[in-house]
Amino acid sequence: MAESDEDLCRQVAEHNASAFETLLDRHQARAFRLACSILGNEADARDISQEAFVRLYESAGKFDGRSRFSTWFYRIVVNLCIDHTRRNKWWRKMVPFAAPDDDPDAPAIDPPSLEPGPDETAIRGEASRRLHEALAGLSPAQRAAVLLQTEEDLTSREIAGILNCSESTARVHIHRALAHLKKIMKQNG
Amino acid sequence: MFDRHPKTALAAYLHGDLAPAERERVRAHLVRCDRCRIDAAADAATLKALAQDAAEIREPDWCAYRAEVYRKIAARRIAARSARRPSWSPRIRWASTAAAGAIAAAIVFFLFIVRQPHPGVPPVDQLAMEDAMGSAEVGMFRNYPMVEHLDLLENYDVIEHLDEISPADTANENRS
Repeated sequence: MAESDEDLCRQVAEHNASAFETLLDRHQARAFRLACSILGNEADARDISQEAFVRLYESAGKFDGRSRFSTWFYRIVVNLCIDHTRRNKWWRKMVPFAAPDDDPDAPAIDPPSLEPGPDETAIRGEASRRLHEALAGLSPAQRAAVLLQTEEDLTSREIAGILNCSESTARVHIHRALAHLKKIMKQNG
Repeated sequence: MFDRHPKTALAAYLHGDLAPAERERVRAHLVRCDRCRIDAAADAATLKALAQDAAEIREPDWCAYRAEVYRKIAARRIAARSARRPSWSPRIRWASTAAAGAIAAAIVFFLFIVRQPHPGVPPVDQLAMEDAMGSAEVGMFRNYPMVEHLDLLENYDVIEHLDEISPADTANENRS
């Protein structure tokens, strides 16, 4: 019988490399997919989801078993995504865009974009592109909440555990996210 | 019964998250309320679009992905070890502390002990000092303790030579 994630995490805390390998194998796809959905960028999703596994390796001893392993681990993933989004927002505010009097031929300062690159856009198609534009307008918590329900099939109680909020707050996040998405997609036709 | 529209419960209802009693209340409301029924249908369509979009995400090469995870763990370990190691070894730190203490002791020794008058220091030329002082009475230097307690010593020459005058000197003069 396969060992539970909780038992494997306890073994990782005892520096069991094989247990870590098993957890990595079980959760890498889900962590990457979740980070990619929240961030909208595969390169960043790769870095962030890998960082989550590094944190798991370093902090496995802090898992106290009061929640499920998946709740604890995906909380790390979501928090890293939210921090990354906020850092990028700060960067956008600090670096000025070209002023009206600047030379129009000179390259403007181009901070890192949260939007998908051109090849990703071609692959996803127009509807998907509109959906991701709409997702970019959500707060990190709203985006995480609605994606955790749709992509990870989590209940609002589980989502509340990951976002470290109440169940009613998690439902509010999802409701507001859906309201915004419907509005934007309706505007775009 | 819902007096208000079950806005925040709709997504949970569509996902099957609600407890049986709450699920029944929402269902009964949707039967009566056209607006909430339209909202629920729009929510369902949006949730479906999000789920379909997730399926289009390209997965990376998992072997390379795992190799990068292990490389990052190893790099973090090296960085943590470097941060813990002190910049100086304990021996060098102790040696520098001891040297600083020796220098401080030497300064104290020089300032407070070496500068005490030696027995071999020749007595001050009192006549020369009397000339420098003008009308001041030289005799008062014979009584060093009294001079020591003067509140105001205006003549710098007096102050400068004060340390060279000791009760022992005055005692020697008296004997001779």
